[in-house]
Amino acid sequence: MDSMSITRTSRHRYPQLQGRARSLLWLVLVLLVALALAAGGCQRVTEPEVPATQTVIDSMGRQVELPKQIAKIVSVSPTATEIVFAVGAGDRVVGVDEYSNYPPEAQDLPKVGGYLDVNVEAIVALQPDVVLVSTIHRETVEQLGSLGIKCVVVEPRNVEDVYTAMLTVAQMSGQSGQAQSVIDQMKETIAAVAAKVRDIPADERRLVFYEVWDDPLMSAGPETYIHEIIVLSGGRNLTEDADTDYPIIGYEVVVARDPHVVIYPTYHGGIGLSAETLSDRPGWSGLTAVRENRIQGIDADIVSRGGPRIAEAVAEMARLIYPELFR
Amino acid sequence: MARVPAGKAGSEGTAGHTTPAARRRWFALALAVLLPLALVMAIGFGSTRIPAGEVVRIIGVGARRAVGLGLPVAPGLPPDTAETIVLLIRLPRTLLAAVCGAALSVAGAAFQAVFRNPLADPYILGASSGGALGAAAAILLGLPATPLARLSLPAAAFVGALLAVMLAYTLARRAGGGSPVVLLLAGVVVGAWTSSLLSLLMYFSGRFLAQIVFWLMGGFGGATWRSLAIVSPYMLAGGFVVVTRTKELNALTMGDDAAMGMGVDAERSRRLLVAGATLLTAAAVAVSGPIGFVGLIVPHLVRLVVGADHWRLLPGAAATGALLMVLADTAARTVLAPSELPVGIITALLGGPFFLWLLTRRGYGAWFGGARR
Repeated sequence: MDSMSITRTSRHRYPQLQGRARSLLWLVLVLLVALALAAGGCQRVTEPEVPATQTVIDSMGRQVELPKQIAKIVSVSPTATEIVFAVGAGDRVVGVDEYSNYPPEAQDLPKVGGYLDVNVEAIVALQPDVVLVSTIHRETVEQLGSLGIKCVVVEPRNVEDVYTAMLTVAQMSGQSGQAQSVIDQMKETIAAVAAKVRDIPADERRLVFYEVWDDPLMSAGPETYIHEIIVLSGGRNLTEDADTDYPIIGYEVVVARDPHVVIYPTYHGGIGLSAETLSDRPGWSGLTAVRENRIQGIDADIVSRGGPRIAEAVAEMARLIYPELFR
Repeated sequence: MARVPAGKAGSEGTAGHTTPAARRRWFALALAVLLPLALVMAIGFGSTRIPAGEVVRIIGVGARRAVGLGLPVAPGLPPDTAETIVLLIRLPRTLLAAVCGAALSVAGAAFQAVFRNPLADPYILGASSGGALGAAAAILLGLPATPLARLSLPAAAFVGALLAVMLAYTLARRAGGGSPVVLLLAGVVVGAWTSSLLSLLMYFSGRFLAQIVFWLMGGFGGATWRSLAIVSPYMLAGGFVVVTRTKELNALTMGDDAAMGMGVDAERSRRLLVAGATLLTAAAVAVSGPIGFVGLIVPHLVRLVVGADHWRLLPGAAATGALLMVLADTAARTVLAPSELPVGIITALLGGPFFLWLLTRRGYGAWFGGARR
């Protein structure tokens, strides 16, 4: 602006004002150089931060480029929330979904919607460096991606995957050390259970019916955490031959296979099964589990989420299946 | 009187060129043989195979012991597994499937006559969405899984189905007297509105969503002697009202004026028939959820063979509906064993193409045009 007005003025009064114009031009030049220097200085200060990124490979095999320093994390998956807190990055979580109820401090964080109805606007407002999602959030991932917000899918499918997911989350938030020690503890817990049930012969391993739901009657298939937890606890899953993850089964399947133990999920003091309820089902009063009253509840969240508490779930399941071995 | 032109499509049934009377005899005979056969076969099939001879023997034993009313075979003793499965699980389940198939088919035939509309099915007045709303409410109220609370779901579904139809009926009477077209519209609107309430409940249902969805797909997985005992009185009452009104049904298919000429009070018969058919439908919905297509297709299929006279159509539809539902439930239990499919998926999957095939048959489409003129 200034230089514009100067040139315009100098066109008319060039001979008289030459000296003053020159000094003004010099002043402007000096100011411009100073500004450029200042800007350049600024650039030099921020340079190590802005371009420095890291590449993360998530549970779906996607390569996601993230800033090297992760300061703000949003998690819309209860499993991912548990993992972030377990690896010691919980203080950087700025928002979670409504179902993220563990650890307790996650419950006090701002909510960004439910499981299927994630509120994209709420996430954008939090300006996170990364959003942890599960595989059902495909649409959310696309929406957030178009707004320049990066998502990492955290969806482990078995215990081995849980370790991998924990390491991935730990690495991106610079917490690898703590993650490794948590994983070592988990492996120790599972190994301790394995040591106690190792000598039970295959034909004496107790048959476990895990009742996922009562109406319709649902069980757990061979590709689920529940199945893996039962096997790691030294039991046999009643429906290890099912084609689907949570097959609907008839009452007759349970009667014909006659489980030794019935385990059902408890939802924070919700529905509970009892010998009375089970005996009410047609033909179930003669079941071994009912006659010997081996009907037990287990926290639904620790068995269905592939989180850091899965080792705890194995220990608990083993205690329910073989109470005499774990006193 | 309301003779079906499709009678000329002679390749129907077992024989080539037969008179309608002979064809009807063959049809009756086939049903009389196939229905018991299907029942025995259905009870033998499942995640555990039980030979037909063994099935018959066990049923004989059970009949002699007269355990039929939900009493445990012998309390305290570990019972024989095959006996338990046949007597306490598969027999009540198969019978319930048969009864519901029959009820839905008879109700469908009645509604098609009452509305003079081939598209009518048992759920035309909102019984399925009303029942679903009741069931969803019962599920969400989250009663503990105690034996008594297990009855709250069918009870709520039954009441919901009745209320929806009563609402449609009351609205229709206010709007247009006894006109069947107004009733049809009221039913469709009440059904849609009830569905939106159901969607609202489902949106807030959290982890109960899956249970509501599975209920909506329909099935006999929870069947017990008790569920059979609960629905039987309503089925008998509703069935009696409809089956004893074959003359009125025949008259109504020809229009109110013609009915009046035959000495039938169209509006009164319609009211009673709607009540009876609704009772049948609501009872079925209560224990099995809404199972589609059976109540729509079976009346058409049977009409094709025995003609439109309800004196023959209703028993034929009842037997055919029972047979098809038993077969569908057997498929539901066996194709993915040990998993089960909801039976509503099977009836819709097979029923849709079958109905289209029926429509493309020479002469059958014409009957619709003819009947509605």
